[in-house]
Amino acid sequence: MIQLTINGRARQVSPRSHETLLELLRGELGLMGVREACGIGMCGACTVVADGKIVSSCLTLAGLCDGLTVETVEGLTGPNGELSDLQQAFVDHTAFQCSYCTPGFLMATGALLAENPDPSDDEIRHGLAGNLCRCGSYLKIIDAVQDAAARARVKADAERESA
Amino acid sequence: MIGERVPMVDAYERITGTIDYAQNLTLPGMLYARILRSPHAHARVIRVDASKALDAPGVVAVLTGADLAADPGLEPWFGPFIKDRAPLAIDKARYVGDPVAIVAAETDDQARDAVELIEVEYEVLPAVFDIEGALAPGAPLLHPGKRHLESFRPDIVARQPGLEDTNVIHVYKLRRGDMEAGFAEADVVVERTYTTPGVAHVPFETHNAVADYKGGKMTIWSSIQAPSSCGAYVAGILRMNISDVRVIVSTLGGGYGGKIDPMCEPLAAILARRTRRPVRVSLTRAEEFVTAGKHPSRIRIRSGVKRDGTLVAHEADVYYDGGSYSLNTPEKIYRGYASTGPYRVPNIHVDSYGVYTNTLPASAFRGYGIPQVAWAHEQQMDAIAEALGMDPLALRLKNVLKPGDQFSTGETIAEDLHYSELLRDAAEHIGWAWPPAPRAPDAGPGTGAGTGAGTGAKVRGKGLAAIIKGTASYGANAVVKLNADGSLNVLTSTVEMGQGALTVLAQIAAHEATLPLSGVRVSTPDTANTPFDQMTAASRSTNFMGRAIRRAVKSVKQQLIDLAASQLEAAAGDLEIQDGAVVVKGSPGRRLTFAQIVTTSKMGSLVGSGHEPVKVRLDVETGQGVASPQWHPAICGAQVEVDEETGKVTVLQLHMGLYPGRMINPIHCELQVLGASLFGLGQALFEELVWDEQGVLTNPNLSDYMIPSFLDVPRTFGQTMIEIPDSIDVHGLGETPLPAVAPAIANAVAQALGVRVLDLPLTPERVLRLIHERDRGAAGGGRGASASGASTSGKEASA
Repeated sequence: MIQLTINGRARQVSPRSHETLLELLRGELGLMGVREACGIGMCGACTVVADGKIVSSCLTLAGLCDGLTVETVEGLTGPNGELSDLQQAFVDHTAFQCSYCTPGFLMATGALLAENPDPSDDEIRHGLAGNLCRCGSYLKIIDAVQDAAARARVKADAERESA
Repeated sequence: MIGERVPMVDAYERITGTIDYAQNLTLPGMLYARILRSPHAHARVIRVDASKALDAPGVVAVLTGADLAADPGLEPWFGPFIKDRAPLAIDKARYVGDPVAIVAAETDDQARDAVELIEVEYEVLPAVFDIEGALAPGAPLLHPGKRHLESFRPDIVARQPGLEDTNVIHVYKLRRGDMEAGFAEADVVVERTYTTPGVAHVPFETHNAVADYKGGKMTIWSSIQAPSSCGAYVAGILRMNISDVRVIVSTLGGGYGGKIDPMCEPLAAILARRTRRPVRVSLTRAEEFVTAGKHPSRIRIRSGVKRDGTLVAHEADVYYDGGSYSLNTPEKIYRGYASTGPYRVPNIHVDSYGVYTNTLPASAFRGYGIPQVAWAHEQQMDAIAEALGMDPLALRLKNVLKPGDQFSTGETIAEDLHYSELLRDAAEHIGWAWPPAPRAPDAGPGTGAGTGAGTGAKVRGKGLAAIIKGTASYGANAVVKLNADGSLNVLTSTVEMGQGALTVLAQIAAHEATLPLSGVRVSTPDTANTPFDQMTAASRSTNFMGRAIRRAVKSVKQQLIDLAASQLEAAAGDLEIQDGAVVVKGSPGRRLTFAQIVTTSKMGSLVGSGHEPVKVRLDVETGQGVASPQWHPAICGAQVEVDEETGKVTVLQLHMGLYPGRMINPIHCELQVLGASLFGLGQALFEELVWDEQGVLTNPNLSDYMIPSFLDVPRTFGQTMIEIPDSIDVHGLGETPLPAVAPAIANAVAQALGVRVLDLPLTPERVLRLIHERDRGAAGGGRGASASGASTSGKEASA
């Protein structure tokens, strides 16, 4: 039995010995936004944030995740299903096609922007190089990430001014 | 509405991760199936012992090919043209990965474990792995004996009996003008042989399906691009009525042509009927790699050209490696007609073959046979220009199809496809100059050809390519239902796979119905309720399904006018439709909304249907006729940098030129062009399926098989779209850009290096080898040939 915090909610689960975090999230926890594409940590489709760091959930054994705080795409929306600014930017720029890879990109982008709130296009390319999009929506993703970063900076400035 | 940058109608589900892929579906009591695959490339299946697997925990059923053959309730052989495949290998396995048995168990783990317990005795047979081997005298035959035909197409009926007991799947012949006379007229003859490798689609959602059999009806939830055809196949295999097989598709996590053929559905359906339980069949990534792929090809072109650059003769042998089963190969080989490229050539002789080999069954793949011939004809154009000392742009402009010209198939291209305009535009965007400026020691952008071997220099080059692509010859059907509140349901079997079909078809329907987009809902396929559509492929849906939907809406509009005429006591001829209402012309006060009309009629809903017919016919002997209802042009301009020390090619710039007709939704047009171009870039630089000498795929994973990442996207990417503003005519874009990319990149590399790569992909190893050959040749006093199969001759030499 292990304890996890998934999208802000405490969960107790008993994973099988060889079960990956990906299988646990999609299986018992029903979080279908976490997706397997390559199964070997090359494509980023299964990316989740664990204790603030992005990880490939397909390479992470669930049994070793005791005590972790895990965030998935399902945790990005507000209490009434409102899209986050990052999600809205992806929608506004249609930064996806089949969208199978999109949750992974959102999680990786969140981590990228937390580290670098004002990335150059080049920093976005390198920062998201671990996430693959077979439909090839990459340039729209740059537009969306830049837009989301700009929105976040405006918000941060406004908060500073009001403080 | 038309032309608006509307976000995808299902964007919310896509961005929150809640959209339904078939992969997400679990039904109560569902069994999980796993497939046992042949480890041999060619082997007779002597005996399968499944007793241990049947005794394993959780196992509910095991099926082998022999079980399928012995079941009178099944007709296991199927195929779109030639019935040469069964869901499990019945007599013999024909490639490494051919399904031999399948286990259904309570859990996926149990099924996976039990598959290991099945014992198979094989008699290993000699195998063939490439086109040359398959066609060699005495080569082992994959499908000896009589061929059972599914299609009654005249060319299939005429040619197939003659191909029995060979490894030739099918032949297409094109004869136009007088080839010998054409070559006699030529001043220069250029001959080259080009090859392309097998390539994987890599849809992120792998093939998968769930089948459930209840009350004599089969329901299948699938990740398939051709639900209607899939239903027909499953009905045929299970000897059921098409009306009793229902295929439901939500959305696909990628398709790219690889999900047209039913790879999981027949097995899931057979198991579901046997076990009376829902059954899921899902492929692993490794299985996906041995389930569908692009046809490898070998294409020899001999071109006759006059000194002024006029093309006068074209001879080509085109070989598509169809792998172990024929699937759509008999249709795909027709793309040999495009081995001329989009040029006027009066005298043509093309033989195009599909060939069986003991490799994975090649399937439809984005571009459908055109990328193979484009790789050849567009490098051939540059090779011709080089032989003539002519600007490759000028050579293309001189020969490219203009309105009223005849294509290789003899059909007149009446429409202006804007080739000249798009070629000049792409050339301008990449800073094309001829002759290219001599290369400076520190070559900056766009400095052209150079030979800085051994210096570790990075050299740059520019290249152009032009291609022509048709579309599939299948009609489209749509039904629309106008509800009592004035909202409209559009029922089609078009598959949404990220291309935005649901959105653009809704835009077309809303436009035609004069309704807001929010008043229109386009269905996803459910073959019990949506009309037949051959497939979502061939860049055809926006155009053909769009037209079918408009016809269906027009039918409902006529019904509205007729009903309103009696309800308003006006003559039908005095009525018109505006903004969701029928109005008496000149009396805006006298109007009834759609909702009022339907409600007053007490019919509950008005239903209309529409069909877009497509007529295509090529003569069996000459290959002349009409090959496509529509032709699409694409241009690519590329700028590359080649590291002469490592052979690494970096694509600095791609500029695409397209003629979409009218962009229904520019966002999706841009995404399709971007995506198809990057597909082309991956195939140009690194995508390649590599088999060992036993026919085992050596790179069935995303570590050893690379696809384009953010770091491969060119720094500069542009697209020029020529639109006809008032039109609603559409040219498909999903595949069109792709074929132009690899040859444009190769032409740029050839300009940079002074030597030409004839075989895809342009891996560093291959490019470096060429650089070394070039330098050895230069040291020896002459320029080495770029690769095998190259010859250029003056008139004297060739006569």
